[in-house]
Amino acid sequence: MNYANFAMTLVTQILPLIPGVVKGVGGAIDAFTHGTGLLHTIVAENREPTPEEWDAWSGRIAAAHDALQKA
Amino acid sequence: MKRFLTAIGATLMAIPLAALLLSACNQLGSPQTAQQKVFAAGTVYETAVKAALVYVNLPRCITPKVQPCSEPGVVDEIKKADNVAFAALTQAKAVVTDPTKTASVANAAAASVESALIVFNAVLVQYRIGT
Repeated sequence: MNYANFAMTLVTQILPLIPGVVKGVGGAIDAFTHGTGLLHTIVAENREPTPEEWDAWSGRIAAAHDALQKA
Repeated sequence: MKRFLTAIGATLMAIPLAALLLSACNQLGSPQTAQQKVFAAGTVYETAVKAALVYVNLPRCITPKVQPCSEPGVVDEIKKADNVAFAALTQAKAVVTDPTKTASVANAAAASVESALIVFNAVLVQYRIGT
């Protein structure tokens, strides 16, 4: 089974029907798709992340960490 | 009715989030180097945190319990596990981007951050968040 496809099908078809839950799930999906897209590019180009990409990476995980600790 | 639908939503939400995390390694473009592995781990971490936030942001449970709510003890455990994972990620990033470190040290850092993420995800799974 392709879990990612299975997951995305559930998310895109079922969850939007349920207000209030979608927002939080959307954040997780957005994080996943953004990260996977960028990493696909990095791997395909056979290179290391640039300093700018690392800075953005650090900012995203720090923001996620802070949000969870303050919640 | 809205509360009922939200509870159903939380249950449905749990399934795809687990699937996302389980498949993350395959979907992240098969990272080869230590830097790529730590970079990928950051994506998995961010996704797991966003999933955890759905639960943590629920109103804290009171007596009598009104669902959906988040148990204060569970929230504390999640935050502790998050602190460990975040510290591991930050340290690993510093190691793998340090040109003075050897490949074996960088690979060890990448492996350690993956272990920290496994623990973090295990906490979420234990409390059925993202499972």
